Amino acid sequence: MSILIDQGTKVIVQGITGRDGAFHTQGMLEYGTQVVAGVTPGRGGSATHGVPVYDSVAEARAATGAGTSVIYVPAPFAADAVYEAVDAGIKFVVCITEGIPVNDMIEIYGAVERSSSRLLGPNCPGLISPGKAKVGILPGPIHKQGPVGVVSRSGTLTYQVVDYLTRADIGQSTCVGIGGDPIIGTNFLDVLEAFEADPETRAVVLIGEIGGTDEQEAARFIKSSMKTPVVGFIAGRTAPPGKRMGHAGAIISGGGGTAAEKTAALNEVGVPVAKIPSEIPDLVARALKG
Amino acid sequence: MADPDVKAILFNIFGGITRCDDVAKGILTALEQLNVNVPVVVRLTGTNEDIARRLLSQAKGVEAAETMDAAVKAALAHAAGRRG
Repeated sequence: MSILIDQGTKVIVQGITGRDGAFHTQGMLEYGTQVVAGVTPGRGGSATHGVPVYDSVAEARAATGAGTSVIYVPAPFAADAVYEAVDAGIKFVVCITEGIPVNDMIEIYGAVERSSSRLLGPNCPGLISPGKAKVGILPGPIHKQGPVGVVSRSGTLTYQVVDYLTRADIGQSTCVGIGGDPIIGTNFLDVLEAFEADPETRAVVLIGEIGGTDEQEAARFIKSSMKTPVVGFIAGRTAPPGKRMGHAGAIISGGGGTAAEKTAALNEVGVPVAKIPSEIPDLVARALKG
Repeated sequence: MADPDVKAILFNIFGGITRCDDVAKGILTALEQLNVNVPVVVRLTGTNEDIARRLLSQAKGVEAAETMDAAVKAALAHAAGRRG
């Protein structure tokens, strides 16, 4: 098992003929993902890396029955791409695009909430179920199939942590990058809930960062609803208040959202928090032993 | 380089969408165009990392580190003046 995607997942790539879309379509195909269609308005009838291109998501979905889409469309058009996917009945929409205006995201968030679709991102690396499928831009070869779920607000930090885990011979069930924007679709709670329900996932690594209260809410959820052990890491221990640290959502504001607060909240519910990423494999190995 | 308090510069790149050779070229271009007079430590892992390391090995004042922990230690040592 794994969560959200596996070898049976059929994927539509929105923006498949663009530079990034084409590059990462190739990466997903090489990893074994079933990329069954691409969409670029005006380019219907062509093909990219052997994948047929359609003018709209509705056409691509009708032709292939795909239930998942991944968006590599540039920021000015990405909001429309999400709406189009939701309207076409895509159940799982993964938005890689960075730079969607917060105002657009407020509307998208509402539209997704009112639909039966799930949105991952935006501004995220996507997700991977090692050995089965990847949807997004994560580097495939650093992953290894196994019992650990990884959920993170940061792309590169996820790769770093996964690399440590794999080198320590600890494989992953699914790794999910939820994105670093202030408004995102799928959040920590959604992913933790899915990991808790997945019998293959025997431990979870939660990678948070400064800003907001998502990690504190995750801590409450872990206490109330999880039996699977969780190990944490919070980026930004030395971040100065008021300074945005790479992500739009990573800012200590009004004295709130510090790494210390988040670490304390997690520690309180029995979640060990690594001070530096290289400590994570040992904490995970201990969690797996129970 | 406008900040006199900066004693060393650390690049830590784990390439996903990022291609390490692109990053290396960017660093080399910056070093050419700017007067960088503090040590630079670069850690690159991921897509095209071999090409990136080869490119960087030609640059003066650049130390390439294999891991994030090693890169951080090297940058701290440079900042404290313990390495030349």
